[in-house]
Amino acid sequence: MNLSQALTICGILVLGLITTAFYSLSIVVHPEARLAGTWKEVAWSYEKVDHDPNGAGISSFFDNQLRSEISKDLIIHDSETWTFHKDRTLTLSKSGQANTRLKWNLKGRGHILGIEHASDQQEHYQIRELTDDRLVLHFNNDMIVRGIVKIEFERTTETTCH
Amino acid sequence: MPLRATHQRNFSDDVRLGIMTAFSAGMINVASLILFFAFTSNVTGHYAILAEEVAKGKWYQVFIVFLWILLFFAGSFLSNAIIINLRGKLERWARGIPLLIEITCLVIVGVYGHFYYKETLMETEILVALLLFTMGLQNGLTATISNFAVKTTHLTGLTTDLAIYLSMATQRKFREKPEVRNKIVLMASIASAYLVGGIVAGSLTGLFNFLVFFSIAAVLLGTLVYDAVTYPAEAVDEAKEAAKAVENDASPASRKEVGRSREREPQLKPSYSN
Repeated sequence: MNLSQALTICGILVLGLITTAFYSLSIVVHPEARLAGTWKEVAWSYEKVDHDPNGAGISSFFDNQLRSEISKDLIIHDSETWTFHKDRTLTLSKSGQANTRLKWNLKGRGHILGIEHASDQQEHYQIRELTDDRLVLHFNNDMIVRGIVKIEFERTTETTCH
Repeated sequence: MPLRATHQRNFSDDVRLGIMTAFSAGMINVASLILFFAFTSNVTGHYAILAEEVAKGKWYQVFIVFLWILLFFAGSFLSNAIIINLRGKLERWARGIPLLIEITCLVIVGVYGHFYYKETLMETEILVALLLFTMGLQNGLTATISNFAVKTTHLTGLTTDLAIYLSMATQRKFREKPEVRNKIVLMASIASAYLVGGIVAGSLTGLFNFLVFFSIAAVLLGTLVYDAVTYPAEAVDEAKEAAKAVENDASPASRKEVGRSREREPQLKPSYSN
């Protein structure tokens, strides 16, 4: 095989790749588009957790006090509704309280959610599930016991973002 | 050392090539992990993720991960295609061009990341794809010119081989063989350089973000320039002749060169008999 033949094969491969790329991207929903919209937290729980060394049982699902304790140093502390805007700003809100305005982005292959506060504080959450009406986030936490915390969301409205 | 033809290379050339490229691969992998949350110097994990995403029916992710694997493949393909097609014609640069393309890609990632990156997912996916392409280029280059002795972008096979050679070294009859000792030194050097590169990138990326890619490009460019300057003209001419002889596949010299290059790779097989 000479150089021109090799380049021809490369060209065909690249052309095929570009065609496949455009076709694939036209038929699937981009993760950023799927995430945009308003999501309401429905449950916090431990996906995986170390056993409590004192022998006290750790409930898989969190009550409000445990949830508040675990999230007290996080940007998402005490939020209930997350609104992902298409301009990649994020509004965290709780009934009767002022909203928190943040920035969001997706990293990796769309499996990492980054949240950035105005103070440059950054947090990253792993997206375990993202469908039209359900979102599941994971993050590691060792506030009380070491474990992976799971936050489940349901979509509350259709995408109404600007 | 990256420019020298396969049959002209010696053990120290391979060690230097291994250290330089493993250091840069370690830096690139850790920098991309911090900046993009994606590995870029190896594709084993991407194959596993591809299978997982197919099983889950996440077709967007399937496409992206497949694209990444394909880019690594394309890099390695292009690297070897350049070398075997330019060998004997542009002898001095046949093995340098893949490295120049890698340096260019790293500069592009650095410039784009530093000045234009808005952290959209598509930008992330494209930059990761570009880095996987550069790692494919580098791995194809090092494997081709070292006669498969040096591969520096992933350490699974190397760790396995190092363990096997160290296990062989527990017996005196293997330990006394220079090729066993050389292999251990080569592989330990590569693993160490990769680790050090990763640590350096881990420290620098937090401070300088995308500027870290300029430092990797500078390391590679410095090595290439040094090698180009110190590659003697007689060696270039000799490599040209050898390449032409191999191409014609007729002269005794070509068979001799092929024989010599095979001799460089010790075919060590553990002996189970006493």
